[in-house]
Amino acid sequence: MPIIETRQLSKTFVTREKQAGLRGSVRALFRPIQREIQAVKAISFTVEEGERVAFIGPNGAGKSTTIKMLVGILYPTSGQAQVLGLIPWRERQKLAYQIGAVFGQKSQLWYHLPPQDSFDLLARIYELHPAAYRQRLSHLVELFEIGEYLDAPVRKLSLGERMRCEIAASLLHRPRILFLDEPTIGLDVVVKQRIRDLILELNQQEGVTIFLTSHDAGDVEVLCKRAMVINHGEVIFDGRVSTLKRDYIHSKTVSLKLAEPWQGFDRPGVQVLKHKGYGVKLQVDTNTAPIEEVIGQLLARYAVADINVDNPPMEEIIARIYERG
Amino acid sequence: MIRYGFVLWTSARQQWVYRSEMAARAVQMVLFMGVFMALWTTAYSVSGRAELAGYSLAQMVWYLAMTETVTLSTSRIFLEISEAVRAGDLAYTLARPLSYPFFQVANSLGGSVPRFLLNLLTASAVVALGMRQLAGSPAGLAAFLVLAALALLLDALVAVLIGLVAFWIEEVNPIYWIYNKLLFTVGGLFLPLEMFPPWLQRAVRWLPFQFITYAPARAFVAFEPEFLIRAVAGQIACIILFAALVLLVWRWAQRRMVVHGG
Repeated sequence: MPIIETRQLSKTFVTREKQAGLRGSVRALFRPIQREIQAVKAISFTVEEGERVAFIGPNGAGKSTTIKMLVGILYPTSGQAQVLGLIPWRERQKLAYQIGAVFGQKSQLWYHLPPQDSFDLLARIYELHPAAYRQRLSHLVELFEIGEYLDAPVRKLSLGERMRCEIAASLLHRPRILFLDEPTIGLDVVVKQRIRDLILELNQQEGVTIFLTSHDAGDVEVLCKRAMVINHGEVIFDGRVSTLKRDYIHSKTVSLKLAEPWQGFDRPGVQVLKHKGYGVKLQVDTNTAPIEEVIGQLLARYAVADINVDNPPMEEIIARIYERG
Repeated sequence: MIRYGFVLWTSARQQWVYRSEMAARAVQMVLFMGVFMALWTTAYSVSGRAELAGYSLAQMVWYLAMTETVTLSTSRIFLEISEAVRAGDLAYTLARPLSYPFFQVANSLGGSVPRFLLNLLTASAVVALGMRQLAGSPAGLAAFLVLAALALLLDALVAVLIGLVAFWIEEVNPIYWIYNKLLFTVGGLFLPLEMFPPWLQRAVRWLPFQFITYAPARAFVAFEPEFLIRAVAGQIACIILFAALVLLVWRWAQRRMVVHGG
């Protein structure tokens, strides 16, 4: 039986619009202009226990809205959903004992208190047995390497340190599903990688189902086996990440800063986007030219001062999906 | 219940960070009580009477000290709730096995209790030094503490209710302002209800505001078991009424929830 199931799940928001100026204000008072925004349009999918699913799309695609309906915070406009056999928005509190949620842009830790205090409070809220809680916490502290931050006020932690504490906090009650809404937003590359490793480890050790939203294709590549791409409230791709990579994320851009002038680089699958002085930007088709090989060859040939490898932006991936129809 | 108690405790600990703000409030209390001690002393000597509406000078000043203690400890949780509603920041608190409005009531009380204790100490110290005369009794103090605790609970429910109105209107400050001024006037902050004209007295005894300001202070300066019982009964009735209102409004609010961002 699927652990998450949605059928024709939709959410429409109604917003009031106001025209500019005093006239607009007066008119809005008497005859408000209402506009409907369809954030999620009849999406249907299932997720099995233990899966790692990425829900990706550009900003405003409906990712957060979907996750918030699955957690039970938002009522849908129409359609159905079941999470662990419960209807989230009707049985939110019951569901809360079995799921965990991390919202990258918000914090669940008490800002002026050390994380330890927030953990203690959560243990009470989820009615954990004191001995079981202590054991669970020490395991998570070790796994997330947050021992040294436990007693520092949250406001003094860096974003990366705080994020590790946030995720640990969401796992205290051993949830069966972990919802992560943009967990790596704003983090630097190294910390991002660390967070991804931790999530992966958790899934493999404890079998926690991972449902993650992101607008960063990097999260998906490393972390998930299955990806759903959402755009304008509709799922436009649902399949294996390897397929997504092969068919749509097959190019990367490599930006180089050299210590010597650029003299060209011939290799099928590598295209020079632009070059100016010692700076070069290349597009690499990873299907014909594996990125590791290209970088190896570049480093062997040139004295390189700086190198950056980027995934194509989400918008580009989506454009390709539409192109293929 | 224990869970909400722990929320209160955590919130009270977080208040410690605002200790400089609390110290500023204590200074405000000192100034305030100083001015009113001088005013009432003059008023009593001009009138040439030992009692006004049944209150001696010492009783009148101690009455004010107690209403101020409660009023300056009342909840500001409506600010936090309306801000969260506007910014769509309810996600985490909602994803917990807790009732959101009652979580906020506990959170609010956690903020009020430390301020209440500080206000009580400051006001008592200033008035005891300034008047060199005590009013009240140990029984009065006990009655005050019970009534003040219920008063703060009632006030927290009202503040949460005001905060939830943010689901319908953007700016809830004016509503709080009205509530606050009603506490000042018909709640009996400056003047005990006994000083009101009879028709007004009859009217305000039907309103909940007197249970927050007047009742605890009156029980302190003139302890009567019968008054205490009536006040507690009235407070509990109001608490039940407002808790029901909060739950009702919350049920409507959830359907209006718009969690911004994607």
